[in-house]
Amino acid sequence: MSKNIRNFSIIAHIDHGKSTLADRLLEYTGALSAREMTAQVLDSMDLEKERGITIKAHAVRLLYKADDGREYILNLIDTPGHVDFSYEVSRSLASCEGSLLIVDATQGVEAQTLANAYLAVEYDHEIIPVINKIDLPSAEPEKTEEQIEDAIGIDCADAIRASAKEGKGVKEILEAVVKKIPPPKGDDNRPLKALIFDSWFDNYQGVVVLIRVFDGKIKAGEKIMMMATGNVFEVAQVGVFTPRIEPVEELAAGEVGYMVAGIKEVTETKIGDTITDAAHPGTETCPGYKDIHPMVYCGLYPTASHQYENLRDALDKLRLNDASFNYEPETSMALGFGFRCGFLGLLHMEIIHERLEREFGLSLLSTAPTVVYKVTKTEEEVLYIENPAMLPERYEMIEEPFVIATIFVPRDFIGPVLDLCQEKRGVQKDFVYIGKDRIKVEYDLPLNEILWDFYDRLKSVSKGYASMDYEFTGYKNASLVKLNILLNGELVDALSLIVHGDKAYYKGRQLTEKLRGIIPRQMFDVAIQASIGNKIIARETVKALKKDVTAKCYGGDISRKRKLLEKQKEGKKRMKQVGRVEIPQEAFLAVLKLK
Amino acid sequence: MVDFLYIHIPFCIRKCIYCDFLSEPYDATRAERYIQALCRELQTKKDTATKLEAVYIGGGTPSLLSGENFDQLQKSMKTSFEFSPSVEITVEANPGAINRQTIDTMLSLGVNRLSIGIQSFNDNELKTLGRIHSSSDALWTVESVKAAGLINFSVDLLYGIPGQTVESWRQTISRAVALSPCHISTYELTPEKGTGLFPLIKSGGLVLPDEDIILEMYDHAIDHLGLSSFIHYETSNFALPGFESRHNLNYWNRGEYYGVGAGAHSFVGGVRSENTSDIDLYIKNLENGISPEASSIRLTDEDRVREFIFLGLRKSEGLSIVESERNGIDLAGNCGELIDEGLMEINRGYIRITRKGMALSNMLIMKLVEKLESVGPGRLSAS
Repeated sequence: MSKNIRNFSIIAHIDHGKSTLADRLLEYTGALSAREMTAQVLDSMDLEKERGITIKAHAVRLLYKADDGREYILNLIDTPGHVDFSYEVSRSLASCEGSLLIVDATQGVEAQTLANAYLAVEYDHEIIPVINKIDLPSAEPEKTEEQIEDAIGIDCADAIRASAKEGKGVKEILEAVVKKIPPPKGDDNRPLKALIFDSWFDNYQGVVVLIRVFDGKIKAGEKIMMMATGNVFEVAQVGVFTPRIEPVEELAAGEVGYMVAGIKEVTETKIGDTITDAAHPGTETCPGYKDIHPMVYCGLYPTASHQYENLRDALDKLRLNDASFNYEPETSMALGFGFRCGFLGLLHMEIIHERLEREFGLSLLSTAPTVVYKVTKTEEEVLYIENPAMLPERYEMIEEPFVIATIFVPRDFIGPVLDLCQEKRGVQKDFVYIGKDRIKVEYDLPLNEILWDFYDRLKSVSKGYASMDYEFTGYKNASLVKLNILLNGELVDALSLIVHGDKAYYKGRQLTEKLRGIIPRQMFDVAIQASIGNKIIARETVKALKKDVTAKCYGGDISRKRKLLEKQKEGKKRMKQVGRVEIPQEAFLAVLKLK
Repeated sequence: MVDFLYIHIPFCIRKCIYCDFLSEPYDATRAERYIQALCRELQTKKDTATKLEAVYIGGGTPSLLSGENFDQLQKSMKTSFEFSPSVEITVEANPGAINRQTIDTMLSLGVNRLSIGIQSFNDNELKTLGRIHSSSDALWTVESVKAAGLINFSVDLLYGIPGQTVESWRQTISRAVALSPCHISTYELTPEKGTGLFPLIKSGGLVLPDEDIILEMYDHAIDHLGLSSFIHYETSNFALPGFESRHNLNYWNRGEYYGVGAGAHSFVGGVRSENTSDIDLYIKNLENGISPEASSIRLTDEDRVREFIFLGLRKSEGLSIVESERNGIDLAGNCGELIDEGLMEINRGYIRITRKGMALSNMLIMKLVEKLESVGPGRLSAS
């Protein structure tokens, strides 16, 4: 039976056409009629569609009658397309035997494609290169193939040239999947061993878990155990997505599908965990399981304090569907009651922030994102600091997280890219040519430095051509200090930040200047000071507003004045009062704009 | 009942660089057609319940109109509305764009108040503003008005003009008072977007006086006019007792009014509406029996409360506590802080902005609106 199964995923950079191709495959195999197709079925969240990226993995079963006359079950496992979600990608890849490597013929290989392609190689995938968008006049298929061969070491002699938009190459792709990707191995008679590669919350079914069965079988009524957490559940239903939800009798070795088991929260399922039979547990787990931790933290506060409860409810609801972010209540002297939230990366943070405001109608204020610092207070006491304000007065050592960043850049732009990495305290680890005119560089970089404007600047110095991927490598000792901001002598904890000692004075000066431009004039002078410890290192003043009066207000002016007031009121909603000083949201993010 | 009428005359000899009112260069034939259109619009407003308390003919430069034009307007008004016996009829007049004959005609047709745009008695400042008149033209105009037998006239003055000093402002005020007007408006020059002045200020071609200087000018106006028996009854307006502009007070009291003419606004039955600002379209529409209204908005409860506050606090008497309560607004309960800071005060059942708070009125209004709205929509139930 499993001889007719092919499990595969698609590796592609954002906008290289993954979703469009997935749609074509669905259409071609008749999984959905053209009429049923809404553009890009697999990207079901609005935000995913708007940003053109896939946030959640999905698995779709396609039936395909191949040229050899036999019918095959093709399980397409979609992968998230952003560096923030690389662990989820790795779990999706671990659940299949092959991948399509989609590369845009007008753009060439990008860092993120490369990172995921390497991962696929690691998982022994049979990789089928697909050169997409060949219909565009600027397409350079030969050059793209050469890059793939150089960078990944895959033979591109049989690469498929396709245009997902025009439906070209779809049949060739399906035939290659059948012929090249090996059928899954596995033994139905061994104890159950299934990999969890995604899960989400459904209002009717509870948590839906996507699994790949490696050994054994799973069916309704059985008790299963999650091996990492030890949680036991009774299976209520198993099935597949075609892409409609379709319950099946059982999922056997080699198959991909979903499981519903009365699980109430996604946090009870860990991506990468192994499912086994609770009555006859196996001993073998699926390799590669990691308990992933958020890399980036920020404080989220309701602009109106009475929305605190609503914010908590909203966070609860979002977490139902996304176990990768977490939150803890926190109190800021400046901002009142809120939450310290952890995310996989900046994009993840933006998505959650946006969803909270859009889907739950909240108005939020967020503090500048920060990485997690490792602080050795004494020999016995080690703290992980997610909020700069919490850095203790005394400690033995402070360490910051480092990443290894892989950057792909056309030769013409390499100079400014190296300068940028240098400025960000990077240490070069690798420098190789990929093809004739592309370079791959690897840098050891503090995560803190790439959080701020790194990606934007990388894009701007390379006219958009450079791409980047990064991976956490560990903590390193660093000379770091806490920079405090005081408004009229009062410490604003939410504006504190941890900076590198060499840059502290410069950043303090820059930050006070920026804040002077952001904090509006009030009825009194506002002194903005930056301090390290008790030492003031910079000072600026926002002069008191003395005159704010509308000279005339007659018949035609009334509506104008009313609209102006409305606009001001909206602006005020985004302000937070700290002591007597009103601070706009931008102030808390000013630190992001420091060079 | 709508007892107030505004008529807009969008013609000037030349546009002043700071002016953001609707106007175009005067042309007698075009003005003739426009007046016809105005009369048509007045007919559509015919309202037997109305007993006009005040009419205001503003512009532009209405004093440019011919005697016949005024005659037509007056007839048209009379067919549409009743007039209260004590009706106040104001026309805006500009020195340099008025003659003795026009004054006589206007007075004979019932005009009983003139608002004269003198702006400054300093000829350099007048030149900076792009005014067509000189200070001697202004004197001549006032003398002519008085000679025609009209004592109820108002004088408009501007402060904060590029190049203006506190001293020249003092002189302008003194000379204005010496003309014995019944009413004086002093406006801070405000560079509005879309005016010629705006880009000049932005680019630094013209520089406004310092904030402190402007405040000193405002203070001087309040002090000096107060000593000369003028009552400071609204942010920018001063009048001898009993000579407050009834038409303008109606705006600040949130009273209803008809507005006719291109770009004119109306407020009737809780709806604020606006005519097209396109003079050609205005004329064409009325010639074809089409309404010249371009947009209208029905005010929400929240809008009403906000208007009540920002308009009411322009008046020196302030907001009536009783009336506020009737509108569901707990004023006294929300002004505590501002009162403590000496920016607002309670006086004979009214809450008003103090002298100290006057120059910051926008900020105070915002604070008050915020405070009121933070207690929730339940309190915003003004009628």
